[in-house]
Amino acid sequence: MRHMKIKLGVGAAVVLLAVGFLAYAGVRKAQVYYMEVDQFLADHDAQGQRVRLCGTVADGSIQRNESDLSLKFELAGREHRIPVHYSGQVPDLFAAGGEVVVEGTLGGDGVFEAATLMTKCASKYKPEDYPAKKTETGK
Amino acid sequence: MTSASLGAISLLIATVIAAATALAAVAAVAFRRDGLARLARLGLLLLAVAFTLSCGILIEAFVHNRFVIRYVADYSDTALSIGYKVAGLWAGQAGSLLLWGWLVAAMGLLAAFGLRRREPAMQGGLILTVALVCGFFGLVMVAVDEARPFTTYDAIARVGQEQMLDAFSPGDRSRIGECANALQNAVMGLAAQKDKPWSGTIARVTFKSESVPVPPDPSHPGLHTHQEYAAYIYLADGQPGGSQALLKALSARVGRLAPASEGVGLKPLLQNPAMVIHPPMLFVGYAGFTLPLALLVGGLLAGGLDHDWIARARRWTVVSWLFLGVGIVLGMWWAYVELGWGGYWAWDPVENASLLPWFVGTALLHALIVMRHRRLFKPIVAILTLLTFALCIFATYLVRSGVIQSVHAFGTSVIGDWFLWFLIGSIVVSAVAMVVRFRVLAPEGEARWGGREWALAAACALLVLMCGFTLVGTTWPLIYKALFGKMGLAMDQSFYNNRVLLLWGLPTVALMAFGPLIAYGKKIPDDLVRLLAFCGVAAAVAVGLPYLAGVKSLWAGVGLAILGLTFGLVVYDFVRAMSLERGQGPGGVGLAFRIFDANHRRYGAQLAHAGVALFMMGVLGTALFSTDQKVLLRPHQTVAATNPLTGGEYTVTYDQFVEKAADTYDYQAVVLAVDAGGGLIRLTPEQRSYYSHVGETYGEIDMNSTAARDVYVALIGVGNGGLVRLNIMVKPLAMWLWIGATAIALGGLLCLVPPLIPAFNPATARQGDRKPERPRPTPAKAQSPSTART
Repeated sequence: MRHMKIKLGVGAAVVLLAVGFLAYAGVRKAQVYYMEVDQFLADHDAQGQRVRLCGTVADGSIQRNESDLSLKFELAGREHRIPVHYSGQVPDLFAAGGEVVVEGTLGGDGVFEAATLMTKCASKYKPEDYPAKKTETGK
Repeated sequence: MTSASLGAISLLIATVIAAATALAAVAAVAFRRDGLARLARLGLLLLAVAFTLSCGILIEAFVHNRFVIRYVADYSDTALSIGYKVAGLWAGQAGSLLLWGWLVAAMGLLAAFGLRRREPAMQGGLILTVALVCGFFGLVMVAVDEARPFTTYDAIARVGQEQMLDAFSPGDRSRIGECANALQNAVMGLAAQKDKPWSGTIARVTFKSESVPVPPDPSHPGLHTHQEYAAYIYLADGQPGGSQALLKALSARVGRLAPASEGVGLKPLLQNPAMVIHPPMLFVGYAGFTLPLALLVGGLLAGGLDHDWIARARRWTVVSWLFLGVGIVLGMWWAYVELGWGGYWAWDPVENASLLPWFVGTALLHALIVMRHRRLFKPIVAILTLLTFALCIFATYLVRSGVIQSVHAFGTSVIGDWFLWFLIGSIVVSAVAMVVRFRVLAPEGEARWGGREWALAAACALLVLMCGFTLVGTTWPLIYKALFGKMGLAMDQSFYNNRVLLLWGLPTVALMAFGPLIAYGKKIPDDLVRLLAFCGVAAAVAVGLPYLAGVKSLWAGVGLAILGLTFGLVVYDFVRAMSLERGQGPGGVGLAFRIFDANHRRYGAQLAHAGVALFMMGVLGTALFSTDQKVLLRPHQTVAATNPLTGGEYTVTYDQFVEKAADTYDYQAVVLAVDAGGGLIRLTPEQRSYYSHVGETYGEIDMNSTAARDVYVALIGVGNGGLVRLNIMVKPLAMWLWIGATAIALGGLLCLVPPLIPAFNPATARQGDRKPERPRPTPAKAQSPSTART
């Protein structure tokens, strides 16, 4: 009986290790950088990769190209901005001042080529301390 | 007394009643007296009444546009139709908590009255759990500002004005942020105090202006928002007149944003019937999963989990599982027809959060089957019950706490902390109860596992693995931060597709296909050879026919084989039951109906399994064979599209551009003629500009669905001279997602329906995997499966 228990224990450990390895290997392969604009501009490793960037659409920066109906705008972080080019489906809630997440890569010309553009859902639940947070960087 | 204060008081009373009911329930458990159990039931009744009253008051406020209540102003406007106004109850956080609490109380009351003839300890345990959960929700809605459904702008204004006048001295610029916050509150309140039609509107304006930066002003660096700017004027210049002057200044600045209607209203995007019933469906599921746990606590305290207990646990599990699943699918369908990207599931943390309890709830359903037939699996049932409940709470924690970045950003909120502590508390308490009363969970009778037991155990394990992997993927940014101390990662969809759906999902569906035919207790079924031959034929037909028709992908083959197995075995099983019954009376349709009627659960499960196979077909079709092209078109130009699964060819011709006005919006539409080989189909995707939401455009896709494919067109952009950018997609088998989901739901529903001819007890029940409905709790039942089979 004890022999049986040891066998079972070893079996369970092997299975758990295998499952853990499968999870870990899958996670390592599929993780993508998710960062803010300032963080991205300061990180040279990330600039060579496909990343998700979040930021605010800078006021007055949205330009629609009338010939191919693509979109160019500046994604603003707390301090820096990065130009973004996008030619896919524009979400209904996309507007200047709104928070968006773009996924794509940085082109050689310094323009971020976005493959996807997502707006953060209209924040129904407003953060209570929003103004207080913002001023931290402004002092 | 205003309705707002009535509502707040009824919530407070509900919380107090919850505490008192919990005490009565504890007494009922401790002294095992029927009178005390009756008292606890009465408490639960009052609790449900108090919650119902609160919900009623809030709905009344929505219907009568009482915008002085912050929650009403935030989620309704005067232009909304009555249905959407009532739906405002669950449009936001505070109301959702109220609805959830009410659902727990109402369903708990039903369950408690069902138990009224059982031991006081079991009733006490159930009522205690329900009362504690309700009490938690009541406490959150009383104690946490942002979770209070009945906060009025009057109250907000009072606080804001006091802060403005007392706390911030002119000239002190270091507290601009705090001052801006107080100012915002004061402004919102002032607006509401005037009791003018625009009371709700001004609140919206100040909300909205938060994210609109002021023009850069070199003399005032560091000012980002209008509130900060106004606060700056107040602090730096020490303007006399206080908040009244500020209000004026602020209104002037943000006036251009003022909308035409009153109240913030519901986004046009969310004005869709599916989106209106999607949240309450999820909440019924979340709230319902409280009851299996409550029953478990009752069973542990009363000292036994008998057949009656299993029947109740099963019923509540099926109901909650059904609603949760329907809620999830409604969300998928809404995303598919409304968002215009052609997808229905993006593995976003918020979506995953609702899927986690569904996986484990499904495992629980299956574990309960083994417990019912073999009196085994009690610890597994107990753990899965707790896990399902915990994951419902965890889902809310994940969504509300802001610990994970999601496109459904709900903002950070302290509610998350409350839910986290509640989660930890309920897990610890339940786990301790299970350990202390472990003898209740010990197996009865012979504990030998047969083929069916192993198959169901494997099904549970696979479902838990799918849940676990989804959980790891969803929380990976947190895990990564804990391990490596760095932020800034997210999980790509490929992880879920490869590691959840392919690695564990496919084996799960394969097991699902043949699992129901394996007998309990025996290692090898009698008719193994015939069964295997039939499986082979069914799978070969399912793969072969489409192969000859041109479907040659490997994954399509795997999917089709599973589909063929599932359907083939449903047929095989029914034919076997028919042949066993024949000779015991008239055969034919009457016999078929009686077999079906006496085994609702068996055929309900098989219908649900067939639904899963169909759903999987839809997933494989849309995930592997969709085509997607973004094209620029001028009027009268034509573009071609294909269905890679069947090789179907379509031509899409841009006929004309339309610009018109409807009742509540203007729209631009493109009229397309799609030649799908059988006559022309007209598709008109639109872009709408609602009068109530100036400056925003809303796309409306158009599509043509057949069993083979959806042709799905979204209008992405409109240029000069009728130039448009279209996204033209062909989504093979997309319709089977919704057909499969409907079959799963109907299967679940069938499991809940008692037999229509109660007297009929088929001979097939002798096989051991079927039982008459509502078995009475007698000890002999525990042995019956093994004895009856011989």
